Amino acid sequence: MINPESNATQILPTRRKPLFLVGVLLIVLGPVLNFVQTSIAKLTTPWYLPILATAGVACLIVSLRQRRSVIRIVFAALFTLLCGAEWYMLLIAAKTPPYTGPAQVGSKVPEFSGTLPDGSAFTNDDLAQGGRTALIFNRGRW
Amino acid sequence: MIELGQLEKNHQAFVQRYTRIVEVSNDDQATAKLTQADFPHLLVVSDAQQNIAKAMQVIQSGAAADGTDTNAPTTFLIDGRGTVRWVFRPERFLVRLSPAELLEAISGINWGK
Repeated sequence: MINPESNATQILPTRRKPLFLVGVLLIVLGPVLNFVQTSIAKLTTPWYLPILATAGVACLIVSLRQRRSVIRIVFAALFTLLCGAEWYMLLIAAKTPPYTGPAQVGSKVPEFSGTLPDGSAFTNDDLAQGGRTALIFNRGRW
Repeated sequence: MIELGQLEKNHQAFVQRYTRIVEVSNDDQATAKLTQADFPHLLVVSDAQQNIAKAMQVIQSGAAADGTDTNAPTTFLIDGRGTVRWVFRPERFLVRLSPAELLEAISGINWGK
């Protein structure tokens, strides 16, 4: 005799931990944290971005071993690319070379000329008129 | 313009240390004028032709998002005789000095007479 009750128990799928969801959340958490970090003007290296993405991708890969579907494979591939891009950005693309120009500590600033908003000139001589100056160069435009 | 906003907000602390903030921008004069209006306690300098950036050699070739040259973020502290007393460039362009860090650097320098 077949016991229908025990048979039903056998075909019930094993409940898996929601690793896929956890992976996606970890990956999404990075940019969210980065947005918060930027909002509070704390501009330090966001190492958590690739680290969270790596942890997320690891979760996605494990979830793929548990259950495969086209959606999971596509997500895993895309997020792996994103994760790689984040590591590339922080380790390579965002690097700046050390300063080797002429304005070293103890040197006079070289001759230059720029324009103030009112159209008048701003030159290196303006830096030698008694006051201290923090001369700041930023990347790109405002 | 987070950095400019932060510097503007803390301008009094820089005044107390006898230090003015000069921001060199690659923008043209008209844009610099608008920026200056937003941040009246900083001095905004237009360096559209990158004359200052070239003289100071702060240009990082091919580093802009579109592959063109752009300034590597660099901060110089210069005394009243035009002598460089401190140079800071972060390892990554994503990093910026906070006003607190800049103030600390200013306080940590022996400016002499």
